[in-house]
Amino acid sequence: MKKMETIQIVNYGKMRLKKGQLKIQQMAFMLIAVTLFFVLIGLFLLTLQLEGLKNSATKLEEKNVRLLIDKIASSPEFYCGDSFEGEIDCVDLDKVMALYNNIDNYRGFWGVAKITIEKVYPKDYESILCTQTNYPNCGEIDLYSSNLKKGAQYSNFVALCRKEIISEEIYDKCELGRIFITNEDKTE
Amino acid sequence: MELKKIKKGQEEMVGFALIIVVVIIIMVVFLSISIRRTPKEDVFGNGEANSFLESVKQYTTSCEQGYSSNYRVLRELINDCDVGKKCIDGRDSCDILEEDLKDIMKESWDVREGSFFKGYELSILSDDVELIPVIKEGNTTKRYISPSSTIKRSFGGNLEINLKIYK
Repeated sequence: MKKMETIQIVNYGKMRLKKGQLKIQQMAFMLIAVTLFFVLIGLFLLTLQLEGLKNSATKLEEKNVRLLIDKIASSPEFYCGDSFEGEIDCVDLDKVMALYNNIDNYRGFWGVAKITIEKVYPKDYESILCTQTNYPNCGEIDLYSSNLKKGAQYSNFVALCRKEIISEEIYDKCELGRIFITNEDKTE
Repeated sequence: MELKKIKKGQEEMVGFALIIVVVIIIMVVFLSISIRRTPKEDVFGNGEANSFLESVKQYTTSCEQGYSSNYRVLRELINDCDVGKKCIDGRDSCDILEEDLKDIMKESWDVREGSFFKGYELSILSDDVELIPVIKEGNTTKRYISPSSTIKRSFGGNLEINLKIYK
């Protein structure tokens, strides 16, 4: 009889222990699940943030290049000034051609890899590269190209103005063009 | 004993619900922040279109006014069209304006299928009345940039150029 009682007591103890273990296990699983849940949310938010960061970096770079295009277009070497009636976004093509002949003095001056000016409208001389001999009967000025590794290209609209002579009369002629700036590729 | 178990279960459920509520609040806050950021991105796209309008206004047209070689720039031609002036050769200034703007838009904005830009609309308003028919091409979408520019009228007031470029 005494033997039986002892066995019963031992069984109760084991049962309590098992219940406790189960509770601890339950708690551990719950903690793991909650941690995993928060980690997953964290990862999701992190990817969102990283994507936003990447986007804003690209936008910032684009904004900087656009500002640089504006800066170049309004620099004395390009800007129409008092020679034409143009207020903003106006490029004096005659000046640009003079610059084209002395471009070696401007190496590294703008900190970009390439500058190209293209006539958008009218398209009379599409893809004919401008030289001193064929100007103004041409459609594209390859103004500057450095040895730097070329990155992304950005462009902006400008009015391309020049002095035109028709039957010994000089008048201002402005056409629609685009200035292209190629950035240096700094990815490596 | 059973009441205790039920209470414990209720407590756990309340705890779990609280966690879910906290997580949802955090997610809503982050989502609202990221959604609020999106419209800012489109503002930068306006720069190119604004420059386009400013450059177009300076374009020299083939319309001569008054004397030979007095070619009108587009800004002046819009004013001429508003008052119904004709060019030296008898052509109507509004016809030349419409023709030039159609060609300029076609050459400047590629809206063919598969292009980045999907369509465009250009209108010139004089006292909220269209000076020339709206120049449009391609499709309209919900994402667009819409810069505008004004031109001083020769007899007071302003003429308005409105552009919409669909992305």
